[in-house]
Amino acid sequence: MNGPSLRAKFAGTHALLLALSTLLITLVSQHLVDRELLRQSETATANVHHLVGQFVQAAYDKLQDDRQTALDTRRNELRQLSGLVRTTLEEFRRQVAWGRLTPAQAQQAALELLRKLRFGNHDYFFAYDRELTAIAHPDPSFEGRNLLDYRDPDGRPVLQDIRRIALEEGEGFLVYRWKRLQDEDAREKLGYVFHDVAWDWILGTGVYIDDIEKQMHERLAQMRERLRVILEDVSATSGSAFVILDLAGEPLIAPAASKNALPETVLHALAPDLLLHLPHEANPRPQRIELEVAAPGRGQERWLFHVSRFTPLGWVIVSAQPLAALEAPGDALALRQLLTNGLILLVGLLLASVLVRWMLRPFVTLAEHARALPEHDFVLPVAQQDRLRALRERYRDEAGQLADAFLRLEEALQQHLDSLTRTTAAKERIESELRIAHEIQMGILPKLYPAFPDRQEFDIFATLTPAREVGGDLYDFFFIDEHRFCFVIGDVSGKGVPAAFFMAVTKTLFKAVAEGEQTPGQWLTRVNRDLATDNEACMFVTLFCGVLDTRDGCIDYACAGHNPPLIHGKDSTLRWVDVPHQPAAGAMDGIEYQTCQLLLAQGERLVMYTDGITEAMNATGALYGEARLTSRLAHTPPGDARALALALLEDVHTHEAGAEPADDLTLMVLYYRGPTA
Amino acid sequence: MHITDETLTDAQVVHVSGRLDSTTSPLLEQYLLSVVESHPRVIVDFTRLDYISSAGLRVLLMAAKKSRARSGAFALCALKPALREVFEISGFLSIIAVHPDAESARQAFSS
Repeated sequence: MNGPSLRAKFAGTHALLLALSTLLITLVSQHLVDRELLRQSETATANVHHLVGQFVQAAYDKLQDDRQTALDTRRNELRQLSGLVRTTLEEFRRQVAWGRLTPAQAQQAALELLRKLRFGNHDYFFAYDRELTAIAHPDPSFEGRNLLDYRDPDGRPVLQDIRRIALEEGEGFLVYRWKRLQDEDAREKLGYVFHDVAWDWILGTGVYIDDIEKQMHERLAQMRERLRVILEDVSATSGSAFVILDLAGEPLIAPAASKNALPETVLHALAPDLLLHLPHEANPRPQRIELEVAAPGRGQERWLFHVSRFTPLGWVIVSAQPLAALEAPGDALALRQLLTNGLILLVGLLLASVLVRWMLRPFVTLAEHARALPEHDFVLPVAQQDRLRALRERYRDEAGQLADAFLRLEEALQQHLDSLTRTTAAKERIESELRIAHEIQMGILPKLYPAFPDRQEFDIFATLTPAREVGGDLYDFFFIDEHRFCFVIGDVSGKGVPAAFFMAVTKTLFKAVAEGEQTPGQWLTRVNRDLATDNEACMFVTLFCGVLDTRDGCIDYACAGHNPPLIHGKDSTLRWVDVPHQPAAGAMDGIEYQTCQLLLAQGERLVMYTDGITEAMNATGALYGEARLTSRLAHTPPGDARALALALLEDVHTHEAGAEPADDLTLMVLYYRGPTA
Repeated sequence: MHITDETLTDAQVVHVSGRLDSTTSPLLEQYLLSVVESHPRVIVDFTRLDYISSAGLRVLLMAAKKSRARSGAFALCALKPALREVFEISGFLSIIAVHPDAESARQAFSS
């Protein structure tokens, strides 16, 4: 009775379900958020890789373009200046044609001009003959020298190349390294050469282009610096640290350390692993790698890396981020969700508790009412039924139905109790009447023993136990004169009150008849005739009756359908009394009953009984039976009638072992001691 | 107790099985009396009857008497030895006809 209340169960179940679903939703959303964040992060990282690639590509293209433009400008310059030189040579030859100069003079003058010609930053012209002997050069030490075998510091036979271009192609550009006039080192130079066919000279000029390359390197450095700033920004905003390595794994561009950046030493250690996963040159997409990283101060962590390459510069773009950082938003969301849902759950439970209390109010009233019911005396009107009626009126739901059921139950209970009270009263009355009937019935049977203390010739003892209050068995005995002693035992068909009436009638009738007629057969003929008349119910009674002559033990007897008695001898021998099989009395009109005779020797006993004895049943349905009756009698020592009857009756009761008696038990023993002396 | 009946061309056979005592005999009384009222020739077959009390005997007596009053024929058949002894002792063999089986009862009716 003291288990959790319905309200607690409601609230508990409710809370459990809500908590479970909250947990489930939280876990699922955490998982989804993690997955989505990872996906987004990867996309973002890939995008950054792509953008960085694009940026580098664009910057690189611009550098290349600018270099080309610068070179083109120098080319045009060289070609234009060379055009001037050609025109000048033509002019000298025209002077020869006009006769103002000799060819030698003209050539001498032209070479002199070439030697002195300067432009730009100490740039100059030079001339060689077909054999590559210098014929005009700003450095006088060159003149007259054959430079056929001259090679630049890279081992290039520069002048042979110049001659090949001039003679085979007429003109052309080439890049080589040449010592500047004032400098010690040979530097990169763009040269333009052409063949002056008329004088078979190889002429050329050049500009140093190392400044362009220097500028290129400067701009590349600027680009790297800009990229570094960009990568710093990207690293700060995207959560991934970006680094650019060269193909040997050495860092080229490493942004200043941000919160998510890996120290350079760690990165250096990881470089071989990362380069191992470098995507193929043709693949623009970054490769994804997860590695265990032992970052100082952070312990062992899993990091997510992406590597992509920028082929033209041989750059490797690396981005790195700890997976924990990726999962942090999902965890934070889960925590927030748990807290929020917990709060909602708490508020919901409070509300539900109030609501359930409100809804259960009628049931509380009903429970109180029900608790009070056992104390109630239903003979009086039930108290507080008004409250139930009010509930029934007010609630149309289960509470109202329950209240209605209570009211009906109480009403029915009251009616049943009324009826039970009446029935009990009636039953008590009937029982009391039956008790009286029992006493009356027992009262009409002789039951004072010894019945005839002054008669020494014989003794008689009879006992009758009805199965119900009243029964249909009967016995009687009386003297009809000084020496003739009459006895009768009988069993009416059926049991209970009808049988009891019939028994009373039979007994009265028998006594009246026995005192008027002569022989037992005649008695039964009369009794039968009277009973059979107007016997609509076809009741009948089996009877065994006899008359003992006390002087000699001779018995005249007659039998109407009764089971035959036994004679128990002095030495415990048994013999059945031979009875004619004639119908029970009352069954059929007009029967003439025979009278038979037997002789009871001294010390012999006549044992008469009704079938209630032989058909006495125990709980398993086994009958007492004639076999046990005879066996029991055989083991009974000779003695008076009473002891024999009671011993037999006790044995029958032992057999029944407490089972409900099925039929009336009647036993009558007549003991003949012998004539008086 | 269980009662079934069977209609032959010239007789109604009532089969009674189980125990016929003061508890069950009112049922048989009602049943058998209505059979006797509507059939001139009635045979009660006791092949499967185990026990009969005096209350049962009374019912058979009533049926036999009623049949006799209507000039009908009433007989019992197939009594177990123990039952036959009850009939013998109570003298009912001289009031109600008893045959070994239904066929001999029918033949007895016809003769």
